[in-house]
Amino acid sequence: MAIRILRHINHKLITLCTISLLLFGCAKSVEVLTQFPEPLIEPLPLVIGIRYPIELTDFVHNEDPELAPEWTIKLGQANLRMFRALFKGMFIQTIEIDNATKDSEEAEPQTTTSLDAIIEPSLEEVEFSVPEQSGNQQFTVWLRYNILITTPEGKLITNWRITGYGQQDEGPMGMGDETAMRKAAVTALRDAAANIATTFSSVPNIKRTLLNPPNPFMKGTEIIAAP
Amino acid sequence: MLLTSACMTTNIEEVKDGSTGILPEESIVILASNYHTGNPAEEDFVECVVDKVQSGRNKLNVHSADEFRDALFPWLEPRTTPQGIDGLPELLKRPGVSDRIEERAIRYIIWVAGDTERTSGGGSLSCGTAPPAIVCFGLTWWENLSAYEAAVWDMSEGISTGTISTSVNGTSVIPALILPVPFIARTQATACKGLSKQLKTFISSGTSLR
Repeated sequence: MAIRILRHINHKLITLCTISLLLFGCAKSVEVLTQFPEPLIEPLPLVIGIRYPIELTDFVHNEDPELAPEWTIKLGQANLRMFRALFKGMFIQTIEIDNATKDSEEAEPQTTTSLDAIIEPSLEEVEFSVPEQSGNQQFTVWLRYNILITTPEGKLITNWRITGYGQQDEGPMGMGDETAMRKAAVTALRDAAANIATTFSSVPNIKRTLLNPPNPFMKGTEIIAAP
Repeated sequence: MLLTSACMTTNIEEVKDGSTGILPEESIVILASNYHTGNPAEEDFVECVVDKVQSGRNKLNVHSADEFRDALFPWLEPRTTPQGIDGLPELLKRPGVSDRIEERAIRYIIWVAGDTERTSGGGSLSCGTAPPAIVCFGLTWWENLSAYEAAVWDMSEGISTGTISTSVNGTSVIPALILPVPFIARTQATACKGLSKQLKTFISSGTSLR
């Protein structure tokens, strides 16, 4: 009788192990589609052209970490929504520039004549960790963007790298891995936006070129009389 | 399966630094504290406090935390939130911030920090199947500590009016002789109930209504 019970328990254990392995091996996918708020700041008196490269708006991060299932995190739409809301609140006017004009000599001058600068954001790096890796209950997401800022003529003002970090507790009962990862990604996106909104004006090259441009009538401290 | 309650000890402390009070048309916002500065309370704990504070006796109007964070974006994000009450005047001076707070009639911001953790445990419980039943033998136990603190900021005065802290210690036990009989100490739920009740009293029973 005891052997029969043990044999039965063994079968149950094998079944449980198989189910666990299947679950462990399941790939997980998240698409971040949240809306983002405009920043509550004084808009800078700049007219900015924004170019959203397709690599940013279609961004998908895929990673198969050790000790954890494979993850696919789709951030393309979230990138676009975040930057649109952010830049709309940061500048008095923004004009989206078609990617097609980037290498076109004909369309570019017409579009850019009234602009103070052109911004082209890109998402360079994504890292994340899940509880299986970190040993705590946190899902974390880390993003690194590059904000390329040029004059309308294409002269480099700055390549500004900024980061965003977000973490989300999975909760004692577990809110679902996908929900926790999505929330961590949203927090990271908001953090990146907050970083840009609050530090843009203090980036040296931006400050010098766009916010305090040298007065063409000034030369040192000597005032040159206008003709 | 029977579910019975286990022994718990609860401690609630209140430090009041200023007078409080709230008008019927005014609201409060309850936010998890910043993970840069402390240990933010779990999302479900904050939700529990919100539910309890806006219901029952002495209930208060609780404004949506998400809406408030969006309205003040980017000033209540982890990297920009005031690190303490000293940073509040700077926040209130930022363009548009005071207006957004007044539009929503937010009188107090409550920052909730803390967590629930297992402090000890032991024993052994084994279960197996003996068709048609599941049979368990043994005894397992664990001790949880739920410790939370709510800091109350008065937005009309730009000051801290005090803190309420609660700690609940409880031991859960599951003895099993064929059938397991769990005695679960629901420390987090008890902490939520205690903190919420004290918070309502703290805010409502003030002497000053502005």
